Parts: sequence; structure tokens; C-alpha cells
Amino acid sequence: MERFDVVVIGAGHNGLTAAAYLARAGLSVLVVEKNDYIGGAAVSREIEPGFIYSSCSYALSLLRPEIIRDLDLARHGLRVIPYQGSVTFTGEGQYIASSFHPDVMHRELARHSAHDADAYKRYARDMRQQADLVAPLLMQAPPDPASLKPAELGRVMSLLKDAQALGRDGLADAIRFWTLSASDLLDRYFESDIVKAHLAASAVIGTGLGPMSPGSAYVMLHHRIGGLDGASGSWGYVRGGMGTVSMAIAAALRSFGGEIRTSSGVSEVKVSKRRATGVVLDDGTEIDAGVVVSGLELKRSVLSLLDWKTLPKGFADRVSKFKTRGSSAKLNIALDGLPEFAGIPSDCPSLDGDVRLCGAIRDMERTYDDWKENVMPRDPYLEIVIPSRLDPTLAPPGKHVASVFVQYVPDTLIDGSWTDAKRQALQDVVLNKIEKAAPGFRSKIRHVETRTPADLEDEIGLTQGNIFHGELTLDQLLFNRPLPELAQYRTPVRGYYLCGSSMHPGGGVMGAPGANAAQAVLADARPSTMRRQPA
Amino acid sequence: MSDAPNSYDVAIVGGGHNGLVAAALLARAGKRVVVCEALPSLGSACGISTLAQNIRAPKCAHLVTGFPPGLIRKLKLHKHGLTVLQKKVGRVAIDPDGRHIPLDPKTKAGRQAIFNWSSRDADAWPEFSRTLDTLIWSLMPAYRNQAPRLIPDTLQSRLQWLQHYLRGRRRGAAPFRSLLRLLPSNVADLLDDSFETDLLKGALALDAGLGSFHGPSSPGSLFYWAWQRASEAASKSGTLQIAGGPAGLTNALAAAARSHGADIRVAARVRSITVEREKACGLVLQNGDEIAAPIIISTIDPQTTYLKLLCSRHLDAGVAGDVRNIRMRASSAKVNLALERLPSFAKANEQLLAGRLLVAPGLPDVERASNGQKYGMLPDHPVMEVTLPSITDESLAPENHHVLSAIVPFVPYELDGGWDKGGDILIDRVIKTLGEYAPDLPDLVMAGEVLTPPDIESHCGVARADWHQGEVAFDQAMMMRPTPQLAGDAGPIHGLFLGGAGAHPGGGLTGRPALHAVMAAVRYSKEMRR
Repeated sequence: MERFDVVVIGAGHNGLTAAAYLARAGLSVLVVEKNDYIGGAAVSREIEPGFIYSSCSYALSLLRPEIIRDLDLARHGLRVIPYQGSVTFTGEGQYIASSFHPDVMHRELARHSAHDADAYKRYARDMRQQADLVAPLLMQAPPDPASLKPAELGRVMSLLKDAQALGRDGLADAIRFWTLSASDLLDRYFESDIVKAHLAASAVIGTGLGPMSPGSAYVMLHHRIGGLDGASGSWGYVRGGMGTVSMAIAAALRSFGGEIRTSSGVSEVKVSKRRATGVVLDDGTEIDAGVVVSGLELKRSVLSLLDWKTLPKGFADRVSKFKTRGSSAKLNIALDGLPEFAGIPSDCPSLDGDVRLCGAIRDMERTYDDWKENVMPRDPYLEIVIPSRLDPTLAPPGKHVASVFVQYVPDTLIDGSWTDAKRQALQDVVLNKIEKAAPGFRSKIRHVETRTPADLEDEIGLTQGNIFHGELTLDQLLFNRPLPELAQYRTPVRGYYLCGSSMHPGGGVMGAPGANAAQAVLADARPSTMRRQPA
Repeated sequence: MSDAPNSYDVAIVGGGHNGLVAAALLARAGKRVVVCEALPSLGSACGISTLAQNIRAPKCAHLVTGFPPGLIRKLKLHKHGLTVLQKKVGRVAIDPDGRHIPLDPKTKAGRQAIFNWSSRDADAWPEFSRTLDTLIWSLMPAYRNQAPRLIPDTLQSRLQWLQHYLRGRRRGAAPFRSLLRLLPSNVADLLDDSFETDLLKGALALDAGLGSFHGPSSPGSLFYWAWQRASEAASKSGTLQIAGGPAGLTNALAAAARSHGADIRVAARVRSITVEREKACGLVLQNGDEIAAPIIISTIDPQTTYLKLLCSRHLDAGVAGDVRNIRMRASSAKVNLALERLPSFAKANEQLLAGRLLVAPGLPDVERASNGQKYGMLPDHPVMEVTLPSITDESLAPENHHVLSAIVPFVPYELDGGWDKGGDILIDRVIKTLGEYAPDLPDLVMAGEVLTPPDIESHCGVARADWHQGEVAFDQAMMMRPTPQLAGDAGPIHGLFLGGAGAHPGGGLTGRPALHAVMAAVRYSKEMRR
């Protein structure tokens, strides 16, 4: 029987990151992946010949710079093309073409409201301050406020000290950023509906919260804690599609001697005396390993892979209550030409970024209200990116690929589960909405695929289609993520670790859960199992 | 201090229950106190309405929850006319077909009623109540005591924080962790994870959402619920029904205050608070009268207090901005009906109907009812808390006649299209909904009134019909209530204290904000003398 020091389940970007860190530390590592391709949700796929889709995730900002450095991802092919800004269209023909450049942004916002243009500086400063408070927490296990271990107490104290250093107003802001609704937070700064809608857009992405639900302000913050090349909060495309991220990490893993096996789904984690001893693949093959790390979503990792009889009382029940409601769908489109959005010059650099079609905040909230009732959105929030504007490798010359993110799509519908006809109906709603904003769009479509939350679950194992592997609400963040007892990447089964986005610090192509889980594995590993450190 | 006729030790703005508690306590302690109430009658939300000849209903609030029994004794309110008719008004999930659930876990009948719906839920109930109770009891000390400062820059506040930590931690790491997870969570998930019976979940979600802007699936809703329930825990008493409605309480408070020499004025709207060298020194009334007092306790909402009664030059921009940003929008409406006789709710005896009847068929119904408030729309199918106070209170209606009092949450203050016809639409919907539970009820209505949120504001003086004078949420609670700068007894104006629902710990007929303000005022007057 084959034996490795570590088997990692799932070749998503977090699984690969964990594997690469462990291989780098000298362990023999095998990554097993159920699909015949690697990458999970960070993937590039050529469905229509000549056109490369970033099928799931579509832009990069959150990937931790420490990981890019540690794994030398630039050498392994990772190139990020930052974009300059975004465009938000509201229904009435108005738009905001935002920019990461403060002066350009100020001028643009001033078109809508001079007050808001000035307020944005204050907002950006406060957002930065809060993001800076969070940033140091990303690449470490969350501090455990209940622990009495001196080291943990020290971490908690130092965090409290940081918080206290913000002063009363800064600390009050922190509480607001973590608990308010996006709408209420933005109301504190801005007056113009379109400015608020533009900024609230990042609060609705992927969440099971409306922009008027308390807690949605944090999702805005979550999308701003990253940055590219030192430009904090900025976003960009990955050359060759998001799959390049996974490919680069995989290349790093291989360079450290790790191995990846595709078309190898895991049916069970072998456990003996509450200790993981390896995995059983779908075809019955058994692989032994002292350490098993799962990059799958929490419920899959525990309820599908472990024998519940070996688990402590009540554990499976608590895991099953982890909230993973899905709310997003995705369209990938191959285009015969560049779509022209009405009312904005087509060379506006902001069009290189994400183009959002939305109404005011209350319109997004109404779509959320429908979602709560499992009703298909009638007027969904759309975020369109056309990465081929900046990356010529994605489509033949003159042709383009577009990716459309659709928000507040239920994972099951009130009249049953998703069917082909319902998927088609959703696709029509989305394409008609785009057609209105960019007349002639539909006639340029060469190929289109639509993925409902149910499809995302079937294909890449996002339970209920939740793109974050579990909702980003305060009861599932930091030391609460995914559950208080699991927040340190360890499980009740010794030698079985979790490294997916269900873990702190959560979803997005960030890599931090993978890196942090690897640290937990290495901290627990006995020196005898460790081989020579690579030079 | 001069003994001029309009000179007092303490001037209190607002003659609601908080204002009267403060007046009674300070007068009893020998202070010369004046209360200025803008409306022609005292009591604010504790008013009484005459619906028809000899038929009266509690105007706004209909029960009293969390009022400290110690305060009743201390102020000898019984001597001043307070009669408590029921000491523990129970909550009942009411069902059209008569399978009502009394939500009292301790009685056999309660458990049996849940068992009739679902044996699983009956099994889950003890665990659920334990979870909720743990949360309530861990918040209780924070509810009862003054909030520690946000930044623990004094030894005392450091000790307070440490105390809170130790209290949470004392039962061990695992319960502390589960507490920290529950605190920011939401009501809907907790109920869905615990129960399967729609009626049970609906009634509990309604109980959780009364007085809130957000529906049960919003994060923070569990904190709001536990915080409200902490008021009962803090005073170790149940929900009281008082003869003559909550007006019976405010009348007794006013009588007690007067017996100690307090000067209570009605129809005396305050125009401004006079400030000299950052010190409060009196009030100017709308009619031009001036009142001199070195201590002002304002029990009206913080926004009016700071933005309307104070001249803006006394506030720096940060304070004024934060006050302006206080979210005050959880408005409710009130429907009172005079009934020819007791309506026939299926299989309900008088004892059951004397409770708080929670009318909400399921969790989604509560969530749906809450949706409209966001857009300025009326709920299509209102959920509501209903009482029939005349069952136990014969003073409200002549024999065989009855009054029904319904609090309808999630009714917007600003209705899309205006309130011209809104009130009639709302009362029709309420009667129609109640007709589903007691089919004869619509025909029994002799007279009725609807108090829309603007009515509640103008008739009862409850600003924007939000009885909390500002949402109770993490950023507007405890050391951040009403704003971080104004929390506790700190504030930019010396001698000006907030003692209404807008101050810690929030709204409800608890008298606690007034208690805190009185303590702060007493401390301040001692410092002043030094």
C-alpha cells in the first residue's frame, strides 16, 4: 500500500497551498482531486475552443503576498494584471466609473455629489484603518479568547491593545464595520444613492445577507483587505485566467517534490482509534498517511468523509448547523466582439474592471428578500468582467470572454430544485438585463454557459453553492469560524486537519486558510516524522 | 442657589415613566425637582384611550416588563394607587385551530402543548431554553449596571471589563465559546436549528422582533432578543399587568413624585436647554418661561435633546454627526378595539386569553412582515402581540364588553404614499387577520382606533414611534449608547444627563435609564458641592 506523510483532499487553491507549504517543509505530500482538472474554484477552462473562461472566481486581490513570496509563485507563472476601476450602472442611465486613483475617483464622485466626493476620502481612510487591523490576523490561526494558555492570552491581549490604540472613535468604527449593514454604514458617509449602490456592491457578492442586513458591512471590508503590488484594496486579473493561480501553486508544490493525482475522489478518511490513518479513494484504493488535510467545505470534510460513529457526541450535529446558504450564479460567455455599454465611452479605462448592473441599494435588498423565499431573481445584481480586454491570451484576436456574476440566486427554488428549463430562464433574465445596458450584446454571443448554485456544488463541491465555503457572518468568523471548537484547523480526529475556505480567515482566493492549516500541521508534527529541511 | 419660584435643583425633560421615576427618586432624596412634559397629559407611551362610553384601552404600551420591584417598594407605589393584576403574564402562541402553545417551559401544560405539535420539539425545548437563558443571564449584569467605558482608560473600567470577561468565562471554555458564537447570531437560525413547528418558531420570532427594525434572519437579532429578555432577568420579575393599563404605573409614579414635592408640569414643551460655559443651567419653555436648574435630565430622545434643544455651538462636529447618525426607525403601530363580548378563539379559556397572545403563524411570516419597513410599506399580513386586558381588568370595560389591544411591529414611520389612508388599511388588515383566529371578532367590533407611527409620535410623544429612541444594536448599545461620546455620564455639557430609552440600557417600561441618570446626577451634584 502507498504511504505518504500527508494526503491533501481537494486540489483547490487552499488544498494546494497547504500541500505546497508541507512539501516545502520536507514532508512527502500527495494531493488527490476528484475532478480531472485541478484548481477547484480557481480554474481556467477552455469549454469553447479558443476561449478560456475563469469558470468560477474571476478576479484577484486577496491572495496573500506572503504566500506569493514563500512559494515563489511569480517564478511559477503567476502574473497579475491590475485593473483601474469599475463601472456601476443604475437603471436610470446613470453611471459611476470608479478608479483606484484617488484624484480620478474624487472627480468622478463629484459628478454625483460634491459632498460624497469629499466623504469618500474619509470613508477610504476609515476602511483602510479597519483593514489594517484585520490584515495581521489573516496569516495566523485566529486568537482564542476562551483559552487560558499564556501564548493565547498574550495574542488576545495584544489584539485588544491594537484595538485600544485605535482610540474611542476608531474602536467605535471597528464595531460599526463588523456589525452594521452596508447600507447603514454608507449612510454615515454618503448621500447619493448611486454612490452608495456602487460601494454596497462588494457587500452583496456571495453573501446570504442583504445590503440592509446587519453584518453586510463586514463583507465590504472583507473585499478590501487584500491588494495588489502594494496598492491596498485593488483588484486585478490573472494572466491566463484564475487557473493560473492554481497552476502556479501546483508547480511550486511539484518543485518541492509533492504529487497531485486527479480523477481521484476520496470516499472516506480512514480513522483508527480517533486518529486519521489515510484515505480510501472512490475506486477502493487505500492510501496511508499520518496526516490527512481536507480542503473541502466543512460539512463535506466531516459529514461525508468521516464515520460519524467515531465522532464525539453532538459534534456531527453542530457541524451540520454550519451555515452555507448559496446565493450566487455565474455565466461564462464567449463573445465575437467587444460589447458596447450605452452612455459611456468604450475606451473608459474603468470598463477594464468589473461592470455592475444594479439599482439602488433597496433594489438589491428586494432581490435579497426574494432570495430568502427561494424565488428566482427577477432583477438580479450583475457584475460583468471582460478580462480579455487586458489579457490577450484568453480569446482569439478581436474576440472576448465575459464572466457574469449573478447575485441572490437561491440554491433550491420554491418550486423544487434547479432544472435545465429553470437554468435557461435565469440565463434569459441575465442576458436580457445585459442587453438593455449594452445593446447588441446578445447578437455577439458565441457560447454561453450558466452555473446555478446547484451546479457549483455538483462540479466543484461548494456546498449549497456558497462561494465562501460558509457564510461570512460574525458568528462564523474569526474564532467562530467554522465552529469555535474547530477554529484552530484541527478536528477531534487526531491527524485530520481542515484547510478550506470554511476556515479562518474565510473565502476568496486568499490561500490563507491553506497556509495556516499547514502551520498547524507542522506545529503538531513530531520532529522524527520530519525529513531534512530543504536548503 | 436662589429660591426664586422657577429655580430648582433638577429639571427633567419629559414626563414619561423614565422622567417620573427620576423625579420621584430625586424628590424623595430631597431635591427640588421640576418635570416638563410637552403634551397635556403625563405618561408618554403609558396613556389610556377612551374608545367608547366607559370602554377604555391602554393607548400604547399594554404591559409592563422589567420594572424593578425594588423601585415599586421604595417609592411605595402601591400606596399611590398602583394595583398589579397579574404578576406573570404568560406568552401564548395562538393558533387558529386551537392548538395554542403557552410558551412557559416550566409548566406541564406548556410542554404538553408543544408535544401535541411535535415530540421532537418538546424534546428540544429544554435545551433551547437553556441556551437562551444562558445568553440572557450573561447579558443581564451588563443590562442592569452602568456600561463600562469603551476604552478602559481607568482602573475602574478595566476592572469592569475584567469582571465581564470572568463572568462569561467562569463556566469554562466551551460554554464561553458557544456564548461568543451565539451573541452575534440570528434568531431564525437558532429557531430553525432547534424546532420544526412553524407556530412555535413564528411566535418566538415575533417575541424576538417586537420593537426591532430587523427581521429574525438578520445577524444581531438574537442579541436584541436576549437584551430585551435581560430586562426581566435584571429585575427578577415577570411581565406585569397593571390596573388601568401602564397608565396606572405612571399615575402612581407621578403621585409619588408629587408627594415628595416634585413640581410636575404638563403642556410645558421645552424649547431649549440653556448652557453657560459648557454647563447646563436651565430650560426655556415654549411659552417663554425660564427655569433655572444646574442639573438637567432629558428623558426625550437623544437626537432631539442634542440637536434641537441645544444650540449647535455647544457641540463639536463629531458629536453632532454621531447623534445625527443614531438610527431611530423601529416604529410600531397600535390598534385598539372595543368588543361587544369576548371573541371566540378556538379552545381558549379566559386564563389563556389573559396572556400575551403572539399572532404569527410561522417564521417566514415574521420575516415577511419585517420586509416592508425597509421600503416604507405596510405588512400585507401583519404579525402582532395582542392582549385582552379587560379579562382581568374590569375597570376598562363594562360587564361582558371587552377591549383588545394589539401592538403591530414593523410599521414604517414614513409610509410610501403617505399615511392618509394607511391607518384604515392597517386596521382592516389587523381585524381581518384576527378574524382568522376568532371568526366572530370582526362582527364584535363596536369601536376602534389605530395609532399610526406618526400618531404615536404626536399623541404619546414617542419620537418616530421607536420606543427605544434608537435601535438597540451592537454599535448603539451599552458603552456606545446612544453614541460613544455620550455614553455613561460623559458628555460635552456638564450637568446634562440622558435618562430616557435612548440611553443605556434602552427602551421598555423598566425605569433603568432613569435610575442610571439619577445616580449620575447625584454623583455630579456631590462633585459640584466640593
